[in-house]
Amino acid sequence: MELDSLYQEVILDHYRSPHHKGLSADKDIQVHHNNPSCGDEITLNLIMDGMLVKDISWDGVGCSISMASASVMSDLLIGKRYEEATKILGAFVELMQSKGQSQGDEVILEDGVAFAGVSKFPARIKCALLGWMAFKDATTQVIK
Amino acid sequence: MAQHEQELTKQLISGLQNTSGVQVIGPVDMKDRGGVVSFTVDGVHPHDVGQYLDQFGIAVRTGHHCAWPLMRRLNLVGTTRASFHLYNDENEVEVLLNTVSKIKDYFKVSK
Repeated sequence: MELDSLYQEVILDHYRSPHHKGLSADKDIQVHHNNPSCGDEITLNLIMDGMLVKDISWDGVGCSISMASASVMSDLLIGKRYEEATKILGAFVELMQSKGQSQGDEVILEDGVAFAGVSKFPARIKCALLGWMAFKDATTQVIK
Repeated sequence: MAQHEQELTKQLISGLQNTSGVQVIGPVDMKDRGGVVSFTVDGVHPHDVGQYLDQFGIAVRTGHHCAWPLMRRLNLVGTTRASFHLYNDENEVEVLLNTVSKIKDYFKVSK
């Protein structure tokens, strides 16, 4: 059914057992993003080592899509250089804007391609982007 | 009309109370009650509940219902809310109850 393209097994797995959830004691910056229309919230701690994304940890409440996406995002971006992380972020945003026309590049997005189906549900795209936008905000503030 | 709504509301509340992992939010008696029932499904966010029901042609409202402070007070992220009018019937309540009972399995949350 159509719903299965939205709720991929990978997404439900990350929702049930999210990665890097629980805020770290140390941080370079903490950002808090929320979506007042749906009530989803995320707090994200970022640690940079020069231009290297050293650590991301987060906590939040929200639907399966937003929480799974934050989990996949932190898996993907920890340990990447800023330029590389920005490239992955760009690829994910592009996938979300593809209206179901793109499968996503698994080499770049890994588990992130599971969210391809989300792009067919306009109301849910913002859910998938919540964690990624928090990361973007945090890095922009640290790097300036 | 009010009586019709009351009958459906009663049927839904009693059905939800007998569905495992489902909590009815708000009063469960029929005193001063309109044809609106809020509920939660353990482990499944209301927006996911709503998306699932929508797939089966069931329209509900989900989320914090523009009442964020109340949701925080109740320690909830939101609820799923079904409402009735004259055009709804008992059969549809049964379809809703039956569909709600399958949600936890679909999202594979523990029973």
